[in-house]
Amino acid sequence: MIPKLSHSCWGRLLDRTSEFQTKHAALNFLLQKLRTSQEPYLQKCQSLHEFFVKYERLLQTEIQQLTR
Amino acid sequence: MQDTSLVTFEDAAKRIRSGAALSIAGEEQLLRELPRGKWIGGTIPYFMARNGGCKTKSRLMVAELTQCESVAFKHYPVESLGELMRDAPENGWSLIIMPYGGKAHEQFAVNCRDDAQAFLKPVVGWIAGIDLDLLGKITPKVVFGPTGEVLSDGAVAAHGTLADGKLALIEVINIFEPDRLDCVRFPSVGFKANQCTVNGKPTTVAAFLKERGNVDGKLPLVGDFSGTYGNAAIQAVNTDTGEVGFYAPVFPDVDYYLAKPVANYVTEFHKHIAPVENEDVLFSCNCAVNYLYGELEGKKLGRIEGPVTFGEIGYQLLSQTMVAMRIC
Repeated sequence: MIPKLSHSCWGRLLDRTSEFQTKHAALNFLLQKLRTSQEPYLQKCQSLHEFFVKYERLLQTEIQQLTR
Repeated sequence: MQDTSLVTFEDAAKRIRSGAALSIAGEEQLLRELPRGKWIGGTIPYFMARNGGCKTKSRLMVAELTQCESVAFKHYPVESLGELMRDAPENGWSLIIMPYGGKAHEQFAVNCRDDAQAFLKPVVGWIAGIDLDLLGKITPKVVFGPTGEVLSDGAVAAHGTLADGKLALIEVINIFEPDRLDCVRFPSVGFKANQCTVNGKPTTVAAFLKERGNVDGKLPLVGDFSGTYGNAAIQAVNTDTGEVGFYAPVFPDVDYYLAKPVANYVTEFHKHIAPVENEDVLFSCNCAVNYLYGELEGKKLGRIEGPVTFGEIGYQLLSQTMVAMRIC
């Protein structure tokens, strides 16, 4: 199950403070863009959350890593 | 399975007349003479075909855009390129073709990452090119099948809508890995760069490549996009001015490294393609730089077919890379 938008995992993923690996090119490209963009923090978390909701079926390994 | 094949002009015309939604690659004159219909096309005489890499001006590579509920076709003049992601279906894919060296090519490459929907909506495609023996004599073109227009700039697109429960995923198949010896950073985005830093020290890009023995540009710079490697293939190195041209833009927020040498392109491709080729691949293309440096003419790279291109689009513009879009 995908953590709620308010969960701290999204911030940790952006800040690289938790170990996370994926082979999904789109997710890595998105992470690279968000980690260095000047967008508001919440907006970045929303973009990540939206990605996980859309591709939930293909991201089971990644979802497990979010709250580990 | 992928429904792509290198066919005669008559076979391609027949498939258009059948009403199928198609992406077509080939010689300009053949594309010009095809009937109008549900297709987009781009010029190129190089292909990854069933029997291996080949160059032909008498056949066309036709990919049938199957597995979706509907396909919409649209031509984007340069000034409308920003509408592309808005038109892309919420659940589906967009396949786009742009001519090499045009404003659309540059604008898409430099700006596509900034769109709010970038990476959320899958965009795959390729940059149309020409016979390298005719450099300076002819120019790349794209063709908008519904009207038959032949265009020197802008983009032609097919937007495929998928049924609920299906997803499009683009695989970036990159045989190159960063050597991690020297970290190169660029001050701005672009297809050309003069100044850069190497391990934090200012220098020119050409000086760096010279020092690392890569003035011939055969090894790309490999950008580390949070774990996915995106190459900036080297187009030209000017050791007098320090400037280096690339086939895909470099970005200021990305760490770049020189690629580790690849001993055998075919062996490496087989290794990297294997996990993908049994999947439901809808579209694929490979880079002309790989075709040349890897001497891929006559060499078979698994069962995936597609045009050999002057740039590959896998969410963003890539080079010296292969991309494959599959439906899961």
